[in-house]
Amino acid sequence: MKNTQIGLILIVILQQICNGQVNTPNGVPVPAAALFVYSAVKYSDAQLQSEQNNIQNGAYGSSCVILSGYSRNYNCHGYAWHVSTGGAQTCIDQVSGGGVTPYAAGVNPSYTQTSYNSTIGKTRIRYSGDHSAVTTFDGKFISKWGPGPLVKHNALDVPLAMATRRRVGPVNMLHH
Amino acid sequence: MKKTSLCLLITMLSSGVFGQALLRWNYPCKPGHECWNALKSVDERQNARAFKLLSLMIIPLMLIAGSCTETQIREYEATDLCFTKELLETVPWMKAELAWFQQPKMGFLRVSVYRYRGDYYLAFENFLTSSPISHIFNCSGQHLGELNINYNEFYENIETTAVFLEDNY
Repeated sequence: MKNTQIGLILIVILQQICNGQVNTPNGVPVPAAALFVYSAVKYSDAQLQSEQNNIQNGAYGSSCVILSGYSRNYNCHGYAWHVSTGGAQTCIDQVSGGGVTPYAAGVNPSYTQTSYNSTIGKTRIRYSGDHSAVTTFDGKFISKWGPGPLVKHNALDVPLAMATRRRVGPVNMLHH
Repeated sequence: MKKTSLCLLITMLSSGVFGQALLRWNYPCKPGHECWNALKSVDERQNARAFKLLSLMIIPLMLIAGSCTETQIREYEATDLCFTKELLETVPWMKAELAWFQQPKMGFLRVSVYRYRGDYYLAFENFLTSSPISHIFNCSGQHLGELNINYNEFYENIETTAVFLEDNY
């Protein structure tokens, strides 16, 4: 009986290590179900490079500047809430996994909501769509586009899916 | 498909082995029988016992093979019908999901059907989406998150059965 319990505990610990446990700055764990890595088979290098070229060529707005090439290892939420604060690259799902929620709500949230001011750098932004970004001191946003590149851009120079799901524009400003 | 192949394999193996074993089963010599004593070498006696044992092992295999019915195969084919190109344009939730991704400035979209652990899933794969888990659905329109299916585990165990669409928007 004891051995079974020890075994189960070990399995749980190993699972957490394998999933690369992510915690908020205040130490609240992000749900393991919200962590993932984009499929390398379904998101091929050629397709991601093609999408990156589209971004570079202004398909989503002329303000877009690529800061870092495409990567399947982190997404917008992972970048804004974890990677930009020194964490390891990770993809955080918000829509079904609620991975961003512990950063700003629930027990011991690390961020509080504030009004956006374009001169405040390093503010984390949650768009009304499925997207997160970090602001810069020059009024720009830095965000990771799905498995695509890390981009510096104007607030609304993003793919439609990120800026809105029926609504337009960033509405939730969360400042650390 | 995997189950079907397994059933066929078992059937072939069991019938082949059984055929061979049947020949041995008819071997007349058993302990206590007159001719048993005629088998002088230990090898010959051991062989006779081994053939008997082999025949007994084949019975469960035959039973498993027998349970692989045509109904099972048809069941998979029927399930596949929950996702077709026509349904993509008529079922409200599929239609809405497709229309959402087909707006301008949405980027590349691929719509595929995958088979995962015997069930079929419809995936809307947009190359700039942040939460892909919520765009892969089962036949009832529930996404992977609602079904508690891990995204990476899903992709490691799928088989593509159809690609309905690949386009840029």
